[in-house]
Amino acid sequence: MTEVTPETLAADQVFRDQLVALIPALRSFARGLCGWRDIADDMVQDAMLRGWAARASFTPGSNFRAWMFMILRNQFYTTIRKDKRMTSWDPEVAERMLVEAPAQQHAIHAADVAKALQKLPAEQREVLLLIGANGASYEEAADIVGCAIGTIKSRLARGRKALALLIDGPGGDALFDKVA
Amino acid sequence: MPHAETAFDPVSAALQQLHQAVASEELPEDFLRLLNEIDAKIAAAKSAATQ
Repeated sequence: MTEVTPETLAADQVFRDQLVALIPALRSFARGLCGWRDIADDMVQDAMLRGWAARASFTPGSNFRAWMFMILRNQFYTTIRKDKRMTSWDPEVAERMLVEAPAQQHAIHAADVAKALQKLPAEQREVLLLIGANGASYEEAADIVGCAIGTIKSRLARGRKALALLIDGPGGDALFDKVA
Repeated sequence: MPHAETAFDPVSAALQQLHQAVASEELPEDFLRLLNEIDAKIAAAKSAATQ
């Protein structure tokens, strides 16, 4: 058992505060991964408990977000092996959102992206969520997923291409040509 | 004409909107209970350390 000192108490408080600040991002990542609100929230809470139990192994000052996302990601892959229902985002939330280009030359529904996302292989979906939704760098995403940066770039490109096809059909490539 | 890298990307924008929609939700009660448990553990450790 770890000895309780003023330093460990202070570290626990810092850890707790970082955990609280990260909850919205953890919930968003989990929701995007599995598509089900309740299951996603259960996964996040399990990940938080695991993170808390393992806090002594976290190096203060290192990337807390990446560390927690790794735990959550592991939780997701453990859960998905047991539950095959994870196929869609919360449709009620997604249906209300419309995303438009400033000049309105391209308009797509977030709901379409959410639905298409759930049809992608998990390894592409997680990279799109980490980089596209959570703003992770290639390096951070590679740390979280545990693969090379080149693999992350490849999965991101294939994921974006697949999303374009799912949303717009074969002609959807044009949507991404200018930002690829 | 905007540079290709800075042109509007509807999918990234949609992903960010989905992220924001979840991130801005009120925290469910389950999470508050979990945080209370953690706070209780910290308080107990503090109390034990000062005795």
